[in-house]
Amino acid sequence: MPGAISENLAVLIVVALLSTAYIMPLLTKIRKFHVAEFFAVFMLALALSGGVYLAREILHNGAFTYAVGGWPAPWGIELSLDAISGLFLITVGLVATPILLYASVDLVKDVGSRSRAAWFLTLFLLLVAALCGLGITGDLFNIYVMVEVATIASCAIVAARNDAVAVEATFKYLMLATIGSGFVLLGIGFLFVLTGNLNMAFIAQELSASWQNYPTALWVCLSFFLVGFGVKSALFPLHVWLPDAHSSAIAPSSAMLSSLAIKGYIIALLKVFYVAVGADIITRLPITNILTVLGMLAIIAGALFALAQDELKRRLAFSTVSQVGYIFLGIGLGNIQGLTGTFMHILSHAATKSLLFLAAGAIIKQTGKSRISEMAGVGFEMPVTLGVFAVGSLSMIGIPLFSGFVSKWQLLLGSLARGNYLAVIVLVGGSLLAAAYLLPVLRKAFFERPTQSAAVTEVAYVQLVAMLFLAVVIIMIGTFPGVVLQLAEQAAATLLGLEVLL
Amino acid sequence: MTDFILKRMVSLVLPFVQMLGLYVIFHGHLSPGGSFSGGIITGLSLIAFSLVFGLERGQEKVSERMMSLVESFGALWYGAMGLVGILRGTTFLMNKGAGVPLGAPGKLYSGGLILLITLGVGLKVASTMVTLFVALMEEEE
Repeated sequence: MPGAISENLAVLIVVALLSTAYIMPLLTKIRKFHVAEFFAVFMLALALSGGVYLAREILHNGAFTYAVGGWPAPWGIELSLDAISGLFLITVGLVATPILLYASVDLVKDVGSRSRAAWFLTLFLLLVAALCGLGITGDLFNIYVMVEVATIASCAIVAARNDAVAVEATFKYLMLATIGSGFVLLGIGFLFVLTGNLNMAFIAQELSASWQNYPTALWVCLSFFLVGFGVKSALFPLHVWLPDAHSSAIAPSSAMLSSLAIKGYIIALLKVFYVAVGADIITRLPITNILTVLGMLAIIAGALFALAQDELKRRLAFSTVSQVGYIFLGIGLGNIQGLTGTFMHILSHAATKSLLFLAAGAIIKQTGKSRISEMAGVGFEMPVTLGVFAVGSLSMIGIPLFSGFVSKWQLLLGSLARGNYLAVIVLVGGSLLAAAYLLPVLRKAFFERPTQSAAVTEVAYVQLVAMLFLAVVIIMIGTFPGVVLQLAEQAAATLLGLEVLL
Repeated sequence: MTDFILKRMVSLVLPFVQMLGLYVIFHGHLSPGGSFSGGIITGLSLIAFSLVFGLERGQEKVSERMMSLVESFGALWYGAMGLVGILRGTTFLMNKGAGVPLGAPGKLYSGGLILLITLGVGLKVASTMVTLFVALMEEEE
């Protein structure tokens, strides 16, 4: 039996999360609802340990594939377990588990009623399952299905807070995300017509043999993917839905969406561009230059928008637009250091931004103030929350010993290796701007006297534990990046089709 | 809604509609249609009942709680069928290779696990249709 579990672990992670999602509505009526919440957190932790085990296998024994239903590759759905999947499974597990732990404390109060809370858990787990699925799948249509599940689930967890602002933001998000799905589906259709395959490894084979016969069609198809996944992952000019959706949701939803949901689409984009179409073709087309330029624009524009916001959660939401720029810059660089930086930034930004959103949620809940200008002296009242907020801020800026430094360092190396000095300037400038929009919060909280002495206390211990866990993750990655960095390097090498150097 | 003709007609037609829905679900692997279309037909029969006789009488027949249970059951059933393959030492969703008898071609039972999986999906689709309808109706009130 243990053998059966470890052999089928990849599919079992997704199946276990999906099944748990459907068990949740059955648990509405039990006397202590915390049991249901604890069960969900437990299953996430189990999925995380499964992901860690898989990543270890992949690092030691190399990538492998899994044929669902026993049907081999071109006919059946193939899961392709490589360093990319390993790293993304770890990212999802590491970040989603503390977020749900944090959410479990007063979920029922946040979303209104017990049955709504149960459905929130269902949607949250569906989103996590879809993200895990995106990480492990090797099939293009499977990617589309997972993207749809993730989109619907993330729209619904924005709407979980039942007020007019959240519903309006959800509607905007739903419309734009649906348009994005349409583009992705068209792109998949094009690739299918061009190659006759949906399996990404087979598409790569077909394309490398014959892409020069129809370069325009391939171009159109790649632009569809870029726009489709660009809308969903909030690439700069297509980010308009993000600030509303991420700032009006409840804190755990914002953390989940900003840190993980958009990363799933980026992983899908990476797989389509570098695995299905192939590094060889992609780096020869000017699409990488477009990605680089868009990434640089996003870094600067997102940071400038963030500077202009006074509402804490909106500032963090625009910061996400800026940080997504770093990830796309790495994809555009298209060399091993750049892509390593991309993968590291996916992990590091996931941990950092979820921590910041959870801390912001705690501040807003305890003080009732959502504007930064009102937050004078909060640091004296909530030292732990503001302490972890400081850890998150330093990591976001990219100070050494925090995880943000590791990823930005790799991106810098990648830009230097490409000889792209403009990107170097933008990277450094983006960090300075990040300091400019995050540090004022800390200055306000720690160096100004509180205006009135209302009794403000820390949030519940469980929530503090969840935030401290994320802070420890950030510091651990920043100080001992060894294994994770190795995994990221191997993922980048997989994308580029290079021999892995260990 | 006090329309006599409408009520009689729906009462007459409903059994046949439900029969058709179940037929389409059960013959998914043999004829056009399958669990999605069959599930929708079955769900629509329940919706038609609620539309004509009112939401309250519809809820008496199949309550929201019941539908929610069926919905979860359908999805979990699918997962459980997938696990059969793993328990028999092969991969997820394995059918014939896991030693499930396939049955004679062309007969009702001729696809191994496919019939059972289709049943789960059909239940899920039917109950989801009803849940969506009830949610939208309650919104209006």
